Amino acid sequence: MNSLLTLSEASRLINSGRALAVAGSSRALHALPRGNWIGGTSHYFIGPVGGVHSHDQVFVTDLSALGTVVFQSYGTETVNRIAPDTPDTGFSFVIIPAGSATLEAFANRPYTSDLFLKPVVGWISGVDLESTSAEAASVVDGRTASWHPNAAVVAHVTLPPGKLASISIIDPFEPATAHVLRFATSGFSATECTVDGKTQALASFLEANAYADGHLPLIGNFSGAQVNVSIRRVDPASRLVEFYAPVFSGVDYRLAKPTEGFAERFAAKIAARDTTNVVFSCNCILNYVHGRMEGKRTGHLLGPVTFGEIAYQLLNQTLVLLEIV
Amino acid sequence: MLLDSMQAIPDETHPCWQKLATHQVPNFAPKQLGLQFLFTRLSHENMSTLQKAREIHAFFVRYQRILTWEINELQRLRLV
Repeated sequence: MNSLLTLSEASRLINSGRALAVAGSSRALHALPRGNWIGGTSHYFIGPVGGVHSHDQVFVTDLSALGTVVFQSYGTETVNRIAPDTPDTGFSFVIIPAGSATLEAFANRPYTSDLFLKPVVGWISGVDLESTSAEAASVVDGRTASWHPNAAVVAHVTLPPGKLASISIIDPFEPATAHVLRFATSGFSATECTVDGKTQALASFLEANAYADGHLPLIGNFSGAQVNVSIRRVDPASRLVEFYAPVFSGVDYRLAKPTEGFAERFAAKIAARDTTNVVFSCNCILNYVHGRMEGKRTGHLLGPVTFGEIAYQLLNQTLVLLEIV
Repeated sequence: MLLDSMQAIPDETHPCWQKLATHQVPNFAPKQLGLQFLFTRLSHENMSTLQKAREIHAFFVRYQRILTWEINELQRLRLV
């Protein structure tokens, strides 16, 4: 179902005709044969022995094991079609490159009746943080070996009768009680927000509270769900604060509490969950880096380490789980 | 007595859905992620209460099997 494989093992699986989602470095993905797969650039994985950085292995999710799979690609203008195209009795598995216009369009999709009625799960492809090359994050349609820096590759999966897809998240962070932030407009950046009801320059507030380095996210309260938004950078000239996912107007945000013993607390949260029916999970690169997760496991959950996670909508610094029940 | 979650849930005209759509039930805190997102997004959408109620009802119908906790909460709060 989910395996960290050598390139020869993955090639055999592709040649067997299985429908797959593959995470790997550009070099690794280029070495795979054409076939029934979609993929994205990812260089970090949670494997059976813990976090690993590899160019010689790929993380493979066997979607054929779950149902009938139809692959499709979407661009900036068509990404709104993903949820309507998702099967009524299934889910969609989505990979989109970090920093792309398609990702921004996906994150800013307007509300439609099927936005949360149909499960959409997936991850954001990224780059090798240890490489000095300027290689961009990309996705791949393995059927044609076509590479896209600005597209979403999607597997629409129809489940067998009686089965349901359920998406959940595990947030390693806890919100601090002090300060409630609200934004007047939704988007990937902001210069101002209200803090406890008073309008403030967001950059100054983050700097004064030692959050401007992006180590810790903002946590939005979505009817009880904690949704993390990571701080990408503060522009020193314009004082614009950029995020890795949009903030939403009308949602209360809090600062994440400082994280002593991050890996241990994260592991405890995972251990507290019943993960029997989990068929896919992915975890954020910022958790991997800040949590020093190389060589560390996340329970028995395996998956790619990603530059953003999709659980209906774009999330940051979150472990996403897909269960079939 | 709490209802079995597989028992038929009320149809879309039942007042419980409009109460949920208009946030008249502050103690109702869903646990299912899709429903949590739906509640939040609906609260900011310029739609009629009736349409919001229909969308919440549709979610409960489709995911009834995994909304045991939420359906029991509707019972506990005497909404149904």
